[in-house]
Amino acid sequence: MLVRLMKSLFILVLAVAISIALIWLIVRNQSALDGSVLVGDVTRAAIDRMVERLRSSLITVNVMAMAWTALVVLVWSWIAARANPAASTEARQYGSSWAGLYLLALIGVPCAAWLGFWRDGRMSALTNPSTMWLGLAIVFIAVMAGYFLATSLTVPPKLRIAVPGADLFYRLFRSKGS
Amino acid sequence: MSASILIGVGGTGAKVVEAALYMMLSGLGPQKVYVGLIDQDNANGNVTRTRDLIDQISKFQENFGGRGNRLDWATSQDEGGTSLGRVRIESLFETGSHWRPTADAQGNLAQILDKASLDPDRRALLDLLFLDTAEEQHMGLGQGYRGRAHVGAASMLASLELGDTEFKSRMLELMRTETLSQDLRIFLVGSVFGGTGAAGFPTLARRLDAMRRSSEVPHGARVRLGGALMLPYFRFADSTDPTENVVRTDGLMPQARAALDYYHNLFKSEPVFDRLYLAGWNDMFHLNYHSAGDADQCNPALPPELIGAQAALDFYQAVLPEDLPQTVDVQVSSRAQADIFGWTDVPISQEILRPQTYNRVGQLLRTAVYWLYSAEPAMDRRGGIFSKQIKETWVRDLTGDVDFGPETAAQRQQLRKLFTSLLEWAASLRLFAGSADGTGLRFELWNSDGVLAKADTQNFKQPVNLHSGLTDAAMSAAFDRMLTPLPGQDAPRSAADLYAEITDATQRGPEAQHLGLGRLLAAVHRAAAA
Repeated sequence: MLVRLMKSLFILVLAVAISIALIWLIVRNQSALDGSVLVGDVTRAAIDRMVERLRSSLITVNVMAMAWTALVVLVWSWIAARANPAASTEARQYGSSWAGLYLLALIGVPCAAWLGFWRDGRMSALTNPSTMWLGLAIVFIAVMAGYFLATSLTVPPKLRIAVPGADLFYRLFRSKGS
Repeated sequence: MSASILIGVGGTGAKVVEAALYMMLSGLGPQKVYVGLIDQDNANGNVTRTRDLIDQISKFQENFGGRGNRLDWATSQDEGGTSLGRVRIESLFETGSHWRPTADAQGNLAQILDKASLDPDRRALLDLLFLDTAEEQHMGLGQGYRGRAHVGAASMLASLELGDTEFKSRMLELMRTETLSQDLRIFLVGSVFGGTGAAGFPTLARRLDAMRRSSEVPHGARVRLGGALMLPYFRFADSTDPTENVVRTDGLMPQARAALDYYHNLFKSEPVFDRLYLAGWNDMFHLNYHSAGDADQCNPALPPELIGAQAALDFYQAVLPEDLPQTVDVQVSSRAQADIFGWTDVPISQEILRPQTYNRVGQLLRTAVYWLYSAEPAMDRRGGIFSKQIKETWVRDLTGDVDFGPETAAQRQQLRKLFTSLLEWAASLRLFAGSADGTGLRFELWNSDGVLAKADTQNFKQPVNLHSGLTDAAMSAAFDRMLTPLPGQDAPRSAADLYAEITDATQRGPEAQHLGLGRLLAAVHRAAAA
């Protein structure tokens, strides 16, 4: 179980790293800010501070969402390790647990966005709406892909039938003759 | 390849052979066994059932010995080979497994001995020994010897010497060819009560013993002769027709006693067997119906037959003195506790082999459960986004090279039938174990209750019916309960353990040279180990 868990965490860390890099790319300059905050006598240093603040807020949301996802993946790993199906139809029933936890992980994204972003009204006002939605979309996709890959690539063979795509990955990555 | 011969004489002999065949299907026994059934009653239900089983196992070995679907019996189990069906079963006779001493046309004893052409002295001797009535000399032999062992013995001996020589010539041929470099072990099994068994067992044994000691067999000392005599362990309801010419319940014990006296005296002058096993049961199983013979005589499988079967397997692997016997080594079985029949009560002279018996039989039963209720249905669960492929990865992996054409469909059907017969036999033993006279016996070899849809000790021809399908939970429970562990051993691995192993390619172990459906079957069998 420990090896599978470490693999899952590695996949999630990779997802975090990629999503941070993407956030960094979209929040680089004043174009990420709302036009209203640029009106008047705004210095370059102030703009840089606002961009920096926006970026760290989005990264915080990302990290919170992924931390939540890691927790959910941990719960799934625990369920998978304890699962003792005697045949495939029994194994398939674990698919509902997997789907439920997936939903729980995705719900974590708006929650993290509220905690790290929307709760602070000034932050919302500061951000260019398209940048905000693009940033949150990146986080959402990172969570979606992170949970899916972290579970489907590491699911024990006995539960492979319960996790969509796990069978496909198994066939793609299995070594010859195994 | 070492060969052995197993001959069941009469209906009880056939039932013991049936039990032995199931045990050999598990991989216990020598490499090759010629199986023969000898019964005058051509349509005897017990003989027919065992003959069908011989055909089923032969068919199974043919199906999985070919190029499409194959089980690898040559490779050791450690290297991925399988013990399932490893013991090659062949019919003893060219015409099949059943030999009938007296053909229909020969009619009765008077006709067999051609009484009309005998001189007056011999005719008088015949009349002195056998009643000149429809009960003996003129009794039709179409339904066996009807408990008249002396009539049976005479007609069988006459057939051996004067009539159909198939048995004699076949045995002579095997004694000559199979003893060139190794022992040929012949095992006879029959009852001391009843008709055909009581008549045929000593007659055939003495004939075989004489053959191996004769100059016709150059390596006669390599022919080893063993036998199992089944003491009275079941009784029928007596016929309501007091004039009917059949064996009666109150005659069983005196008849058995007379037979044992006969053997006792015989062995003093003729050590016919290298080893003789006596098997019975404390209390009688009461089969509350009456049948003179024919297909009606189809009795349920009973626990003492397992003892008789084990005697055969024990003999095949026994360490015997090199020379022909001077005395008969007699083995008698008994249970440690009167109210329990467990693995330690299965008579095995080499104690070291007990775990193997437990493992192989248990593995076979568990394989049958998992195959019938999980693996087999999984092959039919198909459908995917892009194709109609098998849904379960592990089944798909292990059947990748299977051609699911009509031939495989027929083989699957035959395997289902074989496993169903096995589980019904196992269930019958368990069901009737507690039905002997006296108080209920605890059957602690296996528990087949989980797969039973119906069990009725009053329905002797079909006492059990299996479920046609089970949910995973029910299958899992049935599988987990199937094998009762050896005393002091942990419970066997669960169905969940099997599933975890079989779905994980890294845990499945080497695949050896199994092919097609054989890969799946071997993998299930391997994972079903206790």
